[in-house]
Amino acid sequence: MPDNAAYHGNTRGILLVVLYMAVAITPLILASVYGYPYGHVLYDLGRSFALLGFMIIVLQVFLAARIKWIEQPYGFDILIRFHRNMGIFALLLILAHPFLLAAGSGRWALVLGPAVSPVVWLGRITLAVLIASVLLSVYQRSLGLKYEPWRLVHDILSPLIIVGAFVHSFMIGADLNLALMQGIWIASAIAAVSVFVYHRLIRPRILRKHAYRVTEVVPEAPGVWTVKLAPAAGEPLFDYLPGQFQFITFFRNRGLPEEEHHWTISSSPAGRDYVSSTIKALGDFTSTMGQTRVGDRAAVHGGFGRFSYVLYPKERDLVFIAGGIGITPLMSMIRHMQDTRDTRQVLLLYANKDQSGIVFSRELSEIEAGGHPSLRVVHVLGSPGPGWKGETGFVDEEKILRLCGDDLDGKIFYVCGPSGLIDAVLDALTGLGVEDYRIRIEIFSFLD
Amino acid sequence: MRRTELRKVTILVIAVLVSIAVFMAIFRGSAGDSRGASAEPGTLVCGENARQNSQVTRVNGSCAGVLLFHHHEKCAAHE
Repeated sequence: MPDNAAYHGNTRGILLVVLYMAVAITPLILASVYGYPYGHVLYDLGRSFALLGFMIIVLQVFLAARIKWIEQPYGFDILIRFHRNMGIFALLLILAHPFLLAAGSGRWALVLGPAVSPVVWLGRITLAVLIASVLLSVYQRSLGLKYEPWRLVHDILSPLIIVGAFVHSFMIGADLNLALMQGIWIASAIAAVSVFVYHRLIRPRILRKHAYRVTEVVPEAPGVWTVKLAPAAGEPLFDYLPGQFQFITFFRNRGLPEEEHHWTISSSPAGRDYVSSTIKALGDFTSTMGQTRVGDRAAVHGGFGRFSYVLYPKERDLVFIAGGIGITPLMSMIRHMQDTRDTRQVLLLYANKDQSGIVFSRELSEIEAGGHPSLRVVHVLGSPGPGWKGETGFVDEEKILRLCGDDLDGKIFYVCGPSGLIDAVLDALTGLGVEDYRIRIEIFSFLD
Repeated sequence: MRRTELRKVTILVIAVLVSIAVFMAIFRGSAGDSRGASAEPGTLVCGENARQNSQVTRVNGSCAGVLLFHHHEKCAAHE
């Protein structure tokens, strides 16, 4: 069972869900109590869906704005998936809106007719933009759209949707005749636009003004570098938990791209001199990491996520399962345990294709010998080179059971790596009867 | 597992919100009936219909004061 710290997180999480629903339905209830019905349930349902859909769109901005007190109970990966789910839900509500109005009134020209007021046309255009935004988000990978251009399009379409929906509803919605509703609508739109402007325009400038400095670039393996970043002189390092991730925008000039990406933190928060991420060349941008130099600057925003053992201090018997560069959050936790002289038991099953993919090999051996934590490292290689005497193949049910000493009771599993490894390990753990609450995973891609 | 919890919470939130939206739409109709405010489609929410028809561009204040008027009377009053 989750311990005290996790329990507090759950309590806040439940309260925030209740608050979310309360904010979403308040205008709907006020309009229903103080407004006036059309007299046909479908028509009134169409109006209800529109009110609800607008408020969900407003709340979407808050979900995605990296507001820590909203993010902390869930983790950003979960929060952004909820954002996506609710975006689809808002689209369905708003898509149903004109059809329900037409079905309730018999005036199908509302849906298809060209001879409607400009405000109705504005609603149609906003709906089309919303459809485009949701489809581009849901099918981003299928469409071959890279993250950066998708993000740019999303950032342009989102405020257009909010403003378009606001103007349409404010000008044409009968419920918006109520002064109270007008106040709520204006406040909601201003809040959403303000948070969006802060999130996308103001905060990046603040972070840039207080940019960190690259203090060291350490080659760890072919195509893998650890980049250490320190705050400007006299400024504090941000607080983070071992296992969390950070958003980084490098300002390296020299024609190198300035893109914001998120990487897991590999350093221990016990050290306050620098924060590091260990980055593997997996795409166009990450392939340039080797060109990063000491003295380059970077905007850093963290830490995010709940993939951290410190949230569950009473759990003493941990199994870490890493695939490739998925070792980084686990390494942060192991380093933190070493720094804090923690004595809990940790079994690390570290899967790689071959020996060349192993990072932190020497440091892991040193920590293993040091006894803090009580660490046992088992490398599992899919295609090992000649002379390898260790485990081979994949991390499967048989290996997990055997390496855990045939006893999985009370063990807590942390899994991080490529989606294929995560899925396979989840299947194996489920097959072995490990309960959901004993499995912690980091869903590192926000769009899968 | 957090993905399972996310699915459960998403379904719960959507179910609650849709249920309330449906309930409030039905409540609206019944409340309107009890107040004697319900009328044939096109005659009650005159402000909304009028604006959708581009007959007026803005209605000031609540419809409460014009509920007893018929659609065209109300529109005339605000044009």
